[in-house]
Amino acid sequence: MATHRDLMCAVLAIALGTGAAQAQVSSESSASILVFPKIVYDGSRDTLIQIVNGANSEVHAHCWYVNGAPTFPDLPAGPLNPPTWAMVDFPITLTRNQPTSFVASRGRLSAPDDPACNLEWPRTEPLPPIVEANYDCYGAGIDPGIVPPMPLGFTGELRCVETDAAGFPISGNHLTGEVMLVDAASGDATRYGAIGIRGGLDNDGDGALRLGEEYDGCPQALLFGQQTDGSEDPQLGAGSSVENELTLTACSIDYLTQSPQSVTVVFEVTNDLAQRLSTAASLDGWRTVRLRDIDTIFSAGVLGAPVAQTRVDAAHQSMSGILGVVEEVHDAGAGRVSAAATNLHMAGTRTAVDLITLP
Amino acid sequence: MPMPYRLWIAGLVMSALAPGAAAAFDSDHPAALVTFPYVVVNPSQGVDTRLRLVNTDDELLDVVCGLENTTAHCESGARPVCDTTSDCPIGVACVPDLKVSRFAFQLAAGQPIGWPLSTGATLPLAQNGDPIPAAPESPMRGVLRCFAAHPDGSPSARNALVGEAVVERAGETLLDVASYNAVGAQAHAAGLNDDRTLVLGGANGEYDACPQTVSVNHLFDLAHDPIAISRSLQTTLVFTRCNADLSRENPQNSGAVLQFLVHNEFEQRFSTSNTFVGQMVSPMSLIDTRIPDRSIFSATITGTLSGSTTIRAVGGSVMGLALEKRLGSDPTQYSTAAYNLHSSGQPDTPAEIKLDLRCPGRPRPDCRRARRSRLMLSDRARRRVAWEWKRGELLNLSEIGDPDDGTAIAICLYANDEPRASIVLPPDAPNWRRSRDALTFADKSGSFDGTRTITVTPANHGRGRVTLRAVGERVPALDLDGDTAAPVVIQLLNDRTGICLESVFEPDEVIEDSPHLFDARSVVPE
Repeated sequence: MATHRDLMCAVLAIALGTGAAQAQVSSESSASILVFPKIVYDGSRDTLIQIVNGANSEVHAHCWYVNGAPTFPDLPAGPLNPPTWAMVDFPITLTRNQPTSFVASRGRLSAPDDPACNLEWPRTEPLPPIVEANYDCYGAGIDPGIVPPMPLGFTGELRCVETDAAGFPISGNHLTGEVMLVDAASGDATRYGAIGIRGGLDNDGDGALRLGEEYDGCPQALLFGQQTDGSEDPQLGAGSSVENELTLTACSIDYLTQSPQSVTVVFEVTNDLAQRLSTAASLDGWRTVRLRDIDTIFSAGVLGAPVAQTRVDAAHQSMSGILGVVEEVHDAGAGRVSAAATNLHMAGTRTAVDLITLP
Repeated sequence: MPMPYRLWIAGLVMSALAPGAAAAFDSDHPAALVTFPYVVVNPSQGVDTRLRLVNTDDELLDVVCGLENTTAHCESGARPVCDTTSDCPIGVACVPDLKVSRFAFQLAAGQPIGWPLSTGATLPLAQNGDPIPAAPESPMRGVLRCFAAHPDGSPSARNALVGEAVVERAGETLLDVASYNAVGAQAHAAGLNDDRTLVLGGANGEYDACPQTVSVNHLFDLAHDPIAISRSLQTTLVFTRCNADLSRENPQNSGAVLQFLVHNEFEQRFSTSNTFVGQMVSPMSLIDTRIPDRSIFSATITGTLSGSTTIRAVGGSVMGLALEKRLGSDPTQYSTAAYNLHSSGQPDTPAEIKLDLRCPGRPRPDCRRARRSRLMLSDRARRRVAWEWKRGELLNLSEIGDPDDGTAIAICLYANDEPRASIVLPPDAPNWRRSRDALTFADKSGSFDGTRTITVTPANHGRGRVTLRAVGERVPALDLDGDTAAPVVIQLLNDRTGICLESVFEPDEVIEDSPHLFDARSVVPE
């Protein structure tokens, strides 16, 4: 018995040690807050979201979808066309080590009688009446709860916060996640990792999640290398093009008042001749934009180079840091398009506290 | 097997909760050492990898890279490239190779560079240095590791590098682009030394530790994509050891045993193990069986769409990557998404990356000094270095490694603690000959920095002896000017043991110091 007690003490001591060292935000470590910066259901692309409990015990979380699509979807986003900022939230429960997944457009209903996998595709004969087709195994397994489907035209983000059984935030650091953006017609798909924010010891469990104190601080700057906008695909040559679509979200978000956090963002672009250009733009809580639509400095024509790196900083006076993801979109012409998403690199940690306010 | 399983789970829990789990060994942050776990070129399939490397710092940065070619070949005739033994004639094995090619360049402040693996590239700025070489063979696959360095090639602790790879398959009717971020290990400024071995993790770690376990969140093979329903799923896992030997062109190819623990959405778990040599690139559902629909990585067995697999390397550590394919009815028309793996914990044994032996920027402080030494440097038409290290402590040849069996040797010359010249004999240098009581290197051509002879004679009672003679144009410039700043130090280093030998010549021990000749003798009182 003493051996068991000693072992438990050792495990606890190690577990408590996690809180002592505030780490950097990362897409590769298990965390207490997961940020999925880009979720799309626009009629051509849909999003498959995967969340995994890395713990050997049951874990609870509460998730929020936020729709960042502009109020007037046919017009460019901007101050006169703010995001709809519609929010939908739902709790999930994952059994020990359980992975789960759901499609943004379909959600996931709590249905214990989900059909088992039926993988033969395409079927040569009709299924017997009592067998339901389930080529993708969708819904099979222990349901994490009810995940609501998102409406057509949804483009926004998802965040999940680890909680205790009563719904209060905790620093469990048990969650990892991924996102697959899939073109339904062509099957072109890309993946990125959910950005994980680890919780520390000083988590008071209230509805104000203080990033930089109770949780890891948001990064000071985001970095990414890119094939410059408008340059040719090096393998395809003439007639092809490459563009980059950047998605940014404010670290701070208020689920209580449901008002987006405005952030001024400064971009510094360096080409492969080590020449630098800069510009600035604003985002109302969340924004996805092609680089060329921010400023011409991102174009291959202006940069005079096929390769560049961009550093993205929240302006000093901004009340929030930023997180994001970038997609490099290659277009061969004639409708042949392929996209590749990558997480942005993150440098430094903000000294200011960012706040996620829960209702 | 309940007890080992519990221990395995306990290990995972401990590693997940351990403080080390927060270490910055990931693809998210600028680092001093970055690894691209999978680079590939295959012209017949239209596949190439475009690599990007960025100096995020505001100052010039030197970068040294080692490209490990892990392409497998059939062990017969022209050694054609193969993926498995089934690609080779009956009875012929498909053997993974390991060949290392090294290159170095400089990046200006904030400068990104990009190049296709297939062709390499001429770098855009003159200060960048020599062109990046093309892939050594085609098709090929492998691993690229790059580290921040000082101008002399020694490792630097500047965590300034980020990298991305875009693996593209393009042709007349094809376009499939997948990208991932290079995995970075941050350096610890206080711990970094110049012993030509980069230590990842451990008590004296120079860089963040490679993870004890990596995990991949995936969709099970053979399930259909719930969005593009006509596409079936297949995930390929790529693993490479964190250990690497960049010191030689043909290092020993080592492998690892990997343990896989798989969870499905029913809270059920499965496990398997597999081994690999060099680099593992395998569809998940071929890891445990040759029949995919019998695999524990297939939806036919697990019965759910979503899975999570934790991987642990026995007695070491690995890093990796996942490539998720969506396959259509036409086997050539598929879409690939690449993504990085999650990591946690620190292994018991630190990983090491061995670099090619070079002279450090300053003399080593811990070398064995001979009681009698002589050094003669000549900078006339025929350059000449003659060094005698006599009556020193050298008991046996193993103290300086085995130069005739893969140990590199470097002779380093310093004046007033500044590097002046270096002579390096790589680990695969031929012409070493071992006799009963001595080891001799003899090369009339002077291929290695003009070295003609080296004789190492160990002996008891402090009577060990080493002599060196290098002659000719291949001897590095000695820059004699008649005012050689003393003390002059010459050291013999090796990349196998920590032992080095040295002679130190103080100003009053210099016999001649002219623009063409430096001659000195040293005697250390007993």
